Amino acid sequence: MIAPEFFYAAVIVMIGAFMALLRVFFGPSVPDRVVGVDTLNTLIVAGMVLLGAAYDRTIYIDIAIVYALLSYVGTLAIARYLQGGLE
Amino acid sequence: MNNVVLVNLPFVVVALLLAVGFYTIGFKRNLIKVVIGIEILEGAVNLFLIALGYVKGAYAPIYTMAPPQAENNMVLPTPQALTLTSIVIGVAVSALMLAFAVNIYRHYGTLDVTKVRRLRG
Repeated sequence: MIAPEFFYAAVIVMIGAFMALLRVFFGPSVPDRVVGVDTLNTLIVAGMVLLGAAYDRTIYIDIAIVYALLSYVGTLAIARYLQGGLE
Repeated sequence: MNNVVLVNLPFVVVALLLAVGFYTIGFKRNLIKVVIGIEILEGAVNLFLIALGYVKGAYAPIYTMAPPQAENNMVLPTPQALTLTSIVIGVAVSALMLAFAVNIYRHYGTLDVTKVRRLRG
């Protein structure tokens, strides 16, 4: 652990991610849950970058970039399914 | 006692995931949910393998731009290679199971396992 302030920032981001997870659990409708998952993805990308800074490893940032790309594709697939655009 | 639970927390999570996965496979009637149960089991196995190779306070086993104190202080790389193989096999198996589910739905018109039990030509 090189930089504890980045670690504390990551903990705060994870608290926000937990609140997004509550929306996923208790969301009354399906679009609520999808928006919750999208928020969770963005916060997890921020947490990955902050943890990469906290552990002082540059290679962890690449994982955050790939996860941001794939989470966008996943959210897009669910949104297209909810819209009724498949088949 | 509390320390024992905290140290073995990944294995406790693995046990919970195994319980949830076996319950889903055994008691759910929708075929898609059974596939999801098998996926949960795969996640439990992958987490178990990764948690086996953990060394407290160690670094990721990558030498590129590693800090000097990571020398001889890295987590075990062999379970990570096993997990990579397991993930690929799991993706292939789940793709096959979902393709079977689509075919079963087209053939029988339902995904209920109690209704597709009888083989029909």
